[in-house]
Amino acid sequence: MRVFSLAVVLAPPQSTSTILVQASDLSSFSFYQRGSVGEFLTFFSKTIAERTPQGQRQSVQENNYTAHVYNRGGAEQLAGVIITDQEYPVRPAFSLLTKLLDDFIAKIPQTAFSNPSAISFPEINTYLSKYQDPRQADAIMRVQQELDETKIVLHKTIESVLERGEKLNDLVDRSNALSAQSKMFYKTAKKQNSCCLVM
Amino acid sequence: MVHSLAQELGKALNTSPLAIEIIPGNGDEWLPEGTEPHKRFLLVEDNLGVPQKVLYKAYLEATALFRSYRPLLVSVSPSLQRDSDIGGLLHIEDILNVSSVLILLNPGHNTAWNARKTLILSGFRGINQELALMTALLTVHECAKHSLLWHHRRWLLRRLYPLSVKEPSALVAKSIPNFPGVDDEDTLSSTNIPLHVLEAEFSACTLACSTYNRNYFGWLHRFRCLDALASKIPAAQMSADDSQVAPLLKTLQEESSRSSRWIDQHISDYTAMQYQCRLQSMLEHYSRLVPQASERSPGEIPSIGIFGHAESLVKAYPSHEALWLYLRGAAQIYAKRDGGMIQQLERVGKDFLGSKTRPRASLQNGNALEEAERHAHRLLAWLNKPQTRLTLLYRTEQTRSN
Repeated sequence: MRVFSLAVVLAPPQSTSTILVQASDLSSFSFYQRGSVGEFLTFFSKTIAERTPQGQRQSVQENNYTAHVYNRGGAEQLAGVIITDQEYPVRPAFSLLTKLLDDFIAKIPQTAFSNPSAISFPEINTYLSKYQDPRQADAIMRVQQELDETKIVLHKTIESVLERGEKLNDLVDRSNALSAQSKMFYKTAKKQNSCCLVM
Repeated sequence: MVHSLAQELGKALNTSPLAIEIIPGNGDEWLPEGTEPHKRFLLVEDNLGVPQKVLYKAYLEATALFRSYRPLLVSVSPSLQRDSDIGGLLHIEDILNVSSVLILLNPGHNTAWNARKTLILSGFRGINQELALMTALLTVHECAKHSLLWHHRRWLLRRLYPLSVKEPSALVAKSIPNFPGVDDEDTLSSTNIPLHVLEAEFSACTLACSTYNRNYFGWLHRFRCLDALASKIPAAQMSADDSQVAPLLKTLQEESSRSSRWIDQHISDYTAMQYQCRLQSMLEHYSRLVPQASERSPGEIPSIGIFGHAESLVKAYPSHEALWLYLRGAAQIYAKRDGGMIQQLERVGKDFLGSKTRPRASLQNGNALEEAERHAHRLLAWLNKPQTRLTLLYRTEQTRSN
């Protein structure tokens, strides 16, 4: 049971998204994989946030990983993305996203969004390490009763989140943010239908 | 002298890198242009990265070389003088190198393992060097789960620390169910393995289980190391010197905390839960014999022990069947001293089905609530079986009569 990545993303509708802050835990990956997995966590966080309509919560499963997205929308146009393994329960993940976004909006003014590199939000690392144990989310869940009534859209593969005609392979190929090594890891993992390397 | 890829890669393997990783492709994305064909692998900060296609090529080379060098092994014996046949000695290093390549890609290559055993017995390969290579191989997905690798590891440990007694102590054998005897050729119990080496073995098992999660042979090795640790306690007790017993019990308790943490993060790993139950039954047994063991250090599991741990996990993740079985296992351990375990188990099952704790099941998703209810009903049905009641009550009666 592990949280690999937490991110706050600026996701304006019909436009490309920007990662404002992100924290990743790559300690469970091997030396040569670590860099590529880091790049893929960023790539998937961005891709999925862009394809989640405002006000919606969705979970996307891909092999051994699950990405949960909450596009909070509103004036700030922020979305939160958490990438976990498949054992990590869903509701604590969304509770954490709600709390993360509330905290982020309270501390970081909207004017700072235009320059993501200048944003300092170290609390995201604390969230990442604290919520490795989802039982920690019990306390915040008690004050978020509304989550029980919220509909969460579940996608069994990342392909089902993509728009008609879009292919994940093309997105990976075209991406400038992914190195040649990462693309190699991706190609091999896809070919072997491997669940343990990169997504 | 022309070196082949297999020999160069084998040499890099035998320097005991920190970790070994098989990376996809032929290495073009990682290696600088113009890298010599026999050096197409990476070694950064002691991490060996072998491109998959390069490894396949090296394996084919190694197979041919191994076949040509193998007849030499027949002449290798402990009496062979190191300086008697320089040509033969050079090939001995080659055998070590190419057999390393063979086991990296194919850890089921029994002949390669046997060749290495022959060289170790002849004194051409240090046991500690070989153990370091075995640890590095645990970072490779296919190797971490392979029974032959674990068997070779125990073979090395038994060569380093031979059996200290012919029979396992009667006290240990009687007190711990299914305790292996020395007639089991793969056992580590009653070997004289020092405590720090056992701790290193526990870390190696954790490493292997992190590389390959459902690692049956990794846990089996851990069980055997635990037996080795337990078999040291009666002898230490007989020496009437508390200073010898205390560190052993402390290691047992630390191991218990470690496996609790592992279970917290791997709630479907039933082998880990079985291990924790066995560990706890040992702790229970020796805590009664040695009063000091009941003193707890900060951060340790409270007196309710693993039953409380299992109960808290069942409440948090009720849809995971392994946790309900963990709860049963924990109850069986404490039934020896606590007559109320049947009632405790009934309480957990009924509490869950009742309205009080039901909302917590909303932690889960999908059909989790239905699954959780099914597990709770199964627990109650199990408790109603005469056989279960007999086991749980019999243990209590037996403890009282003692």
